[in-house]
Amino acid sequence: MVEAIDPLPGYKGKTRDILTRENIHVWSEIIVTKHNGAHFQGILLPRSAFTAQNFVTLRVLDTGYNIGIEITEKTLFQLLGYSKGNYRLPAINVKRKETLPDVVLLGTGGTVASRLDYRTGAVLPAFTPEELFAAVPEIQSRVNLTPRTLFEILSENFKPEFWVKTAEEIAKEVASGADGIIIGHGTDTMAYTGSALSYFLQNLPIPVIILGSQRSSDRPSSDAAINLLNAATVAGYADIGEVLISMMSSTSHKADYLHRPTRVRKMHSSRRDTFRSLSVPPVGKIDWHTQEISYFSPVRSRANPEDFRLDTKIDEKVAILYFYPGMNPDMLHSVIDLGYHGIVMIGTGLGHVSSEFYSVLERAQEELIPIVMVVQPLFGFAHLRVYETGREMLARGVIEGGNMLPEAAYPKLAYVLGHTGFPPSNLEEVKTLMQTNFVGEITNRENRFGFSVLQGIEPGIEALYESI
Amino acid sequence: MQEPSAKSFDYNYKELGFCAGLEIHAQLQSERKLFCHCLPELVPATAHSDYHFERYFRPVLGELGDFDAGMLVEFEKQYRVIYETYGDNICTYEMDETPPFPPCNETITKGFLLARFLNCESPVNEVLFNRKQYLDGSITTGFQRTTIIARDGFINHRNKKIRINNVLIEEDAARRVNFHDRASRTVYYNLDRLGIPLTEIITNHLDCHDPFTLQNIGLVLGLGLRVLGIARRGIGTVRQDVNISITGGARVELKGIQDIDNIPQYCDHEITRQLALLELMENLKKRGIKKSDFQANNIDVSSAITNLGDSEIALAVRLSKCKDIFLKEVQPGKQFAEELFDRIELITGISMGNMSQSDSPQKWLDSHRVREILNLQIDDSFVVIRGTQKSVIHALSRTIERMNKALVGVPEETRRINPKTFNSEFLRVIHGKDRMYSDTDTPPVSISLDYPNLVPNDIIPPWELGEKYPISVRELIFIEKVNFYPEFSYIIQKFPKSCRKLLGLIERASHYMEKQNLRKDKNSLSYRKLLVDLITKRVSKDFLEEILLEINSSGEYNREKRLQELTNMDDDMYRRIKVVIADSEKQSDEITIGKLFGILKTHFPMLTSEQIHSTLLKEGKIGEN
Repeated sequence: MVEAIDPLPGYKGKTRDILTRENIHVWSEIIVTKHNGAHFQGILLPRSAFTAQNFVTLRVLDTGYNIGIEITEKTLFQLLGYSKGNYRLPAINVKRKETLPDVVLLGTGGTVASRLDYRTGAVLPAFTPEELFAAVPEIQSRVNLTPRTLFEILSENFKPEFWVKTAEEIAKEVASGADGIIIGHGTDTMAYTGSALSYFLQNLPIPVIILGSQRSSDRPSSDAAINLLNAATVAGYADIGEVLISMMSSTSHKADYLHRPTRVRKMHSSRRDTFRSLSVPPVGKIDWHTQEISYFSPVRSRANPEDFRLDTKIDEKVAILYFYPGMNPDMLHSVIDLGYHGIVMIGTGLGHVSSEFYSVLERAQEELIPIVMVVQPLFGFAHLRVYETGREMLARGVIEGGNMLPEAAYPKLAYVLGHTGFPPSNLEEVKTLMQTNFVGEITNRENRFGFSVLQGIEPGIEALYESI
Repeated sequence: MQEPSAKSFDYNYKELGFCAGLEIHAQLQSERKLFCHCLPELVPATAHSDYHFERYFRPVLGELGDFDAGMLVEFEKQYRVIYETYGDNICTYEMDETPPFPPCNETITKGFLLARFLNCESPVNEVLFNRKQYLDGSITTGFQRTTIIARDGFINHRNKKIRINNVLIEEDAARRVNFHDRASRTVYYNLDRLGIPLTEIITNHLDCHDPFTLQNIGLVLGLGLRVLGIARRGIGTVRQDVNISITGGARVELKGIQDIDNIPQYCDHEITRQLALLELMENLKKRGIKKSDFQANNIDVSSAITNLGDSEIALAVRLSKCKDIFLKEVQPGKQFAEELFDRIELITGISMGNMSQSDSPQKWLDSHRVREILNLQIDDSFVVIRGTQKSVIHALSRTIERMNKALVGVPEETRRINPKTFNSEFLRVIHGKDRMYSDTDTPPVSISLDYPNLVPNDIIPPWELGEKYPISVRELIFIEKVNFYPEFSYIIQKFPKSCRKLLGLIERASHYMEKQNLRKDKNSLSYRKLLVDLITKRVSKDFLEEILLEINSSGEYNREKRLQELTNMDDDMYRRIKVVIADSEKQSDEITIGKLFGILKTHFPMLTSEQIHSTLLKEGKIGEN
């Protein structure tokens, strides 16, 4: 690792030269005396690479505060010693308890497993699942947890190939007899991964529960431990044969909702209760205090292990395009020119694009490139038979994506094209598959209260929010 | 400076090796909260909370890879925290649902200004926010965002330097409300105060050796924060923690003292406690008690308890040779038993009523039976605690821990004051530096201020005025209270010899203004000019009241115009006055102004005092100095 070699991570330019000359590196204990006589004693810390160059960051010893000091040629240094921090949770050895279910934790990175990164000053995934486990000791009395690290990547760096790898690892764990699997995953693209896994893992004999956190586990108010414990209980005890996402139901530390990944959306950049099942209620709920699981809608039971099937055939040359007013059809031309095999488009209202797109839609139709239309409003169905534009689009082979969310439609199209091959023998074949509900990604009806992202001004909303 | 009267213990602080420092927390004046755009205002006491939410906290590793010991004790308390919110008063930042917005610049500049006033030699060049862990629920994130602005300052106090270790800026915590009892594991906070910018001034603990000096330091710093335009005014905007130690004792922090006048009382009660604990230590040593004598052997004494609940158990620990120690008075009206049990109650949530010791056992326990079960000698003691098995084991292990601490005297801890008794009770273990962590949400802010020239030259902090001029802290506080501090601070620099005179004038003016219900702007040039004219005798004191009324109605004071108006009498009259003056002076060489005034008054009853005075002034009979 670069950090291990670089004695002065984050330090650049003149400051770096001066520190090097003084034989000082990070974790050195030093006294810095400025030309006006002001002096500071502390440990030199690594510095964020994206901040001003002419400062050093010192952790002053009496108070434990970090401070920034400007360095010039006139600054004097005195080297006192060296003390490196060792950011490690105590490793815990736990005996397996025969009476408890065996749950495997697969770590992929993300906020649920993260710590401070000195180079960028931001948060990076760095806890191993073992450390995470040590930080949530109460989990020992719920399940026998075996943590394993698959990847250490932020969720925005996920790729379809990681979905495949994750699914394969899950299949191995199923084969070795795990009672349940939990996956630590960054929340940003959790719904994509969850959807992909839902298509790949058929007739699951055990629950696969994905969890993340919106407050990183290096914060005392983190939701990571709660989500982890809840997910472990669901994975270990519930009669569920599906992939579900377990994230907090409200801003209060009370319960997690269990969401079907194909129907869920991250709706807030930072709130704990960011995940909302759209158009349908969440599948269920787990109370954090009592660890009781309750259900709001039917859920698939654990399947017979012999029936379990892993099918990860996908075509990765699939893209999403978001239509906007004034969008030039050359955007779609370019994607086709670049050799993409299928495109999920997010259209206005019922699923429209401008009439300028007619000719490029024709091109796609001729080249057997499926265009799957989902709706920008997120709620409701794509309906291309209501208006003239829609009918013109249908005539050019556009496939209505029902009420699929983009996060569900994109991996589905990759999965479908992985099976039809490219080019498909005809678009009709792709259309039939895309419009067939596999794992709840398309619902054929919308619940009365399905559309319910509240606005915050409703009378009685305080009591309502409190009751969640 | 006068000594406050509340001295009741007659301690010789010097002999005791008394040392004390202050941590003064004051809310800074600002347009918004430190990290979000909410107004920095509290809801009225009558407001009803319309939405609550609840949270739990757990400790995280410090930056150098250690759990902070204080934090682990906090975690043991396992609080359920309920937050109360009020209408539009808070946003998702206070709820810990949105990352911080960039810090308020106005506030940071105020911090540097304060540091400059406090003579800090070492301002930081880059503001780095840190996270200081708090698991008591007072901050929704579980950490307070805080930064050091400057170090190594001082104020002069009675010709002695009182060092200021650090000047900090941080976000204020939420307000604890609905406080019921120590045993409750549910705590309530009102979120309105959370995020209001706060400054913390830390004085050096080694520089103050008696409670009265400490009190005066607190007064003068508090006054400075108000008059220098840095802190907000009002109840609760300034709070102080006091750090106290005596020779052989330990550093103890008394938290949240609102009324500075009580500082000496709290100090004396803490000295009493530390002395008592030291005596207790000696006593235990004399009895030959060692650490190994205290074992958490948790012997079941349920059979000696009446009315034990179904899920309850009663366990005991044996404390050999400890007879009578629980009766030792540690603070006025408070025995060691209470000192021990209030700590256990706070940490474990078992109420004190469910704890008993052998010196004054509870009614629910058969003391003889317990002694029998434990096989105790006459000099042995016990502690019995009842409750659920898990909590009782926890409580007894904490009991043994505290007993072991008794063998070494005074434990370092943060204590909560009781404003009724001036006693204190355990709040938490003193937090260490392992609870500090970089704030990854807030990038460093480079500072480019002309620090040496930051201070405006027309206002002087009270710690300098009090040293340079014959005026006490209390008098300065009076001047501030009647809103004359800016004028005083300005004028005294021009007329350094007129300190007492100026004070007298301000007293007279403010007294009249209060009587007449006249309002005064914070810093008005009119008052400044008036006071200068009065000191230099360009205007007679006799006119003070009238001019105050005039300023109040017209909003301004203009000496020249006023003189002209007053002497606006016909030439004939003026000539006649001059003749009388000349005559009077001929009759007596050493005629006083007062006498002259009287003569004129008799000769010209139609003239007002002001007219006579102004004429005398015009004629040069009253000096311009």
